[in-house]
Amino acid sequence: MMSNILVCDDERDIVSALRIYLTAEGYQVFEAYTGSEALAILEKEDIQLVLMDIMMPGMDGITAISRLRQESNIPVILLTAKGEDTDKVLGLNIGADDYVVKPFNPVELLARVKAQLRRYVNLGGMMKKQADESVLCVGGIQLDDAAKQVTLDGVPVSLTPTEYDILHFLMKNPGKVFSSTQIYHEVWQNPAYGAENTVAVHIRHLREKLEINPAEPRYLKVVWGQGYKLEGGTAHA
Amino acid sequence: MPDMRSNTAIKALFAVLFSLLVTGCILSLVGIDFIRSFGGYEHNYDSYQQTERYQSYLQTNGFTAQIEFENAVFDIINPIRYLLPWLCSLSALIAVAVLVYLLYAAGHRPGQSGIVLSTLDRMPLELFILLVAIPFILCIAFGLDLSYYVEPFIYFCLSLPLLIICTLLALLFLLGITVRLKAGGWWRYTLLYLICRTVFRFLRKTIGGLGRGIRNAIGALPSLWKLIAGFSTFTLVNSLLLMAMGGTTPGMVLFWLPLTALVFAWLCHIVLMADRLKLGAERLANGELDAQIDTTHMHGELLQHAENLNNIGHGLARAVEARIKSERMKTELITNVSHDIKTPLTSIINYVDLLKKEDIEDERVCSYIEVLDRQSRRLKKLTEDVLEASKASTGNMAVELARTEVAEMLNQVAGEYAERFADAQLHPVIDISDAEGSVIMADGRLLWRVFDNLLNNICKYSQPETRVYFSVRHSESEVMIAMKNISRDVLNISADELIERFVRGDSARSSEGSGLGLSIAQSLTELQGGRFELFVDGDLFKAVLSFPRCA
Repeated sequence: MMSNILVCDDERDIVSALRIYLTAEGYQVFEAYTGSEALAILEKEDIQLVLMDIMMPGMDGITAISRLRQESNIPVILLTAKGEDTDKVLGLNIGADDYVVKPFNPVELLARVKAQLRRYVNLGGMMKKQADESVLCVGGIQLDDAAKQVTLDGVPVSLTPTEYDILHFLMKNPGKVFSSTQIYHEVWQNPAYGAENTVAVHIRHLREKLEINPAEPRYLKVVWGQGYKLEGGTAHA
Repeated sequence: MPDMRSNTAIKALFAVLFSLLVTGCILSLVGIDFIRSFGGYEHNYDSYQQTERYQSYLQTNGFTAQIEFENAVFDIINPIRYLLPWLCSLSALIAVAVLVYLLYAAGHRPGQSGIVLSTLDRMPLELFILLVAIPFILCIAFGLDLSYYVEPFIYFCLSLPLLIICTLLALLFLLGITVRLKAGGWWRYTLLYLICRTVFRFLRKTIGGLGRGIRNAIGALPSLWKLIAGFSTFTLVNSLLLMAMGGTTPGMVLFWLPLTALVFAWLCHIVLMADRLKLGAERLANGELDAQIDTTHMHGELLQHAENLNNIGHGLARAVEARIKSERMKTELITNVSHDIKTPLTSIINYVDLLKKEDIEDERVCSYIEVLDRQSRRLKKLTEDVLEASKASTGNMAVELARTEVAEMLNQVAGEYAERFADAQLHPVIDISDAEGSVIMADGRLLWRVFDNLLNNICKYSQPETRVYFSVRHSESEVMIAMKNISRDVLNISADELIERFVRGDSARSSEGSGLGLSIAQSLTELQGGRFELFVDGDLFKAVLSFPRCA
């Protein structure tokens, strides 16, 4: 299915670069250069996803998103030059689903766009599946223990048996922090004698498979000096 | 009225009139007395010749001229003898009226408002009085004396002008005094006042100067000399007192005890003030820059010292404030500039990426694009690092300290870096045998940034096929994390220089990186209350992080 994406940024060069990337992936792109233009297009067209800059002349991105949220719940990804934590929190609180800090990596941006669209389109289906007991679900990650299969935003992910066991353990206890020793003990069923950093290596591989940007994980988070946890939050703010 | 008061002609006229009136009045009085000496108003020559006066004249020979003159006068006055009292009182009345006018007009001059002092009025009062009194007295004396030497008629003719002169002098005196009183501050024009003032001024100047001189001389003495001088004086006075009193009990009570008590109280005062100074200086030293020393009851050098300390506090507070402000502005500037750089940089990175995706046959073009790609990524890293270094070094960053297990942290870090170590052909050796109980308070995310920067350096600059050592040691109060690796190139730079911002080893110049990594790592470590040290020994590069140990 071909999705319509609205790109809104006051930098025309960035908008046209994004158009090139997105059209290459088969999306229909609409362009806006201010917040009010974006809102006008959203009213007229059938848009499935919005890429929105924060700092724009006239109406800024934050205002535009809070207006948009009164009408619709389509996914919104913020594009921002502001990398401060407070800016990220503000953006997510106001109703954005994800954000990308400028200068962004086009590949990462495309991955996030795809993930948001899949979740938006498959949202209903996921709700239905959750009733099944053998299916664990955290954020966009689904683990079907009967089929021994993991999907991320509806796309199957191939994991090694160890990675699968670690993920399974963490998904059973979402939000809880486990140290390497605890994880080793649970998964290997052996006391860990100096083998703790094996866990760290496996977690890193797991993160690379599950996260769009492993350096800023959304689900599988490192609590430095304490351990690891799996969270269903939208982002890592 | 002003016209009337300042008309000189009228005033002169009135003055003459006044003197004539007074003279007339006096003459009338003399006439009345004369008549009375003839035996009252009801008399004649016969009765006159019966008077003692006439008899005495007759007995003293040579007074015939007197008798003749008196008879002649009598002949003139006798017919008007009833008029004389009226004449006297009338002239007196008019004279008083004229005097009142003259006093009222005194001091006014034509064309000038207010009271104007003449030269006469300005001369010292005593001199003025002398000036008026001497001729007055001379006139009177001359007049009285004259009566013994000259014929009565001549005497009468001569005494009349003398009388007029005397009245004029009296008038002048009255007017002069009035003008002085009217002008106010009459005492200023007295000799006594002038003398007193001069003497007073002279005394003040000499004594004041002397006092100041002595005080300055004492003030300039070093404190030790002051103490010696003061103590010697005290001892001297004390011994003299004791000697004078002969050490008797009443003398002790009367002089020695109060003096000693006074000196003791004074010493207590000085010690108390010195304590106050000490406390104030301690607060200043502890960074309480707005601490002010209370200077009430302080004198002399202690006061000076307290004021100096207070000024230091003010100055420091101002300097610190200015510095904080400039640091904040610098951080803001860097933040804003890096935000502004990020937008064009986004376009550059994206279009370079798009170029890479084009089917370009020409290898040269491809290599150019490769350079653009590498350099734009480097620029991106540089902007991020500059921003982070600025925030970390100014402490403009949220730090959330939590209990952190160092062993767990090292495992996690080593896990994160497992592949990069393998790529760089490095063999990590992690020694956490002593890690039991190595718990510190740190912000995990910031601590990870520290390790990330350090390990990144290790992977980039280590000699391949060497070992990298990680160790944790702890003492009672500290946990030390050490990282050691062998440098691939000669370390031609000191550890201190390496931490400096934008400083890199020669070999690192051309490679990727901002030169900020170690500086950021140091700032972040210090933000979390830790210590960051680098040691370079030949090719051995060692980084040690020390944190206070958490119980």
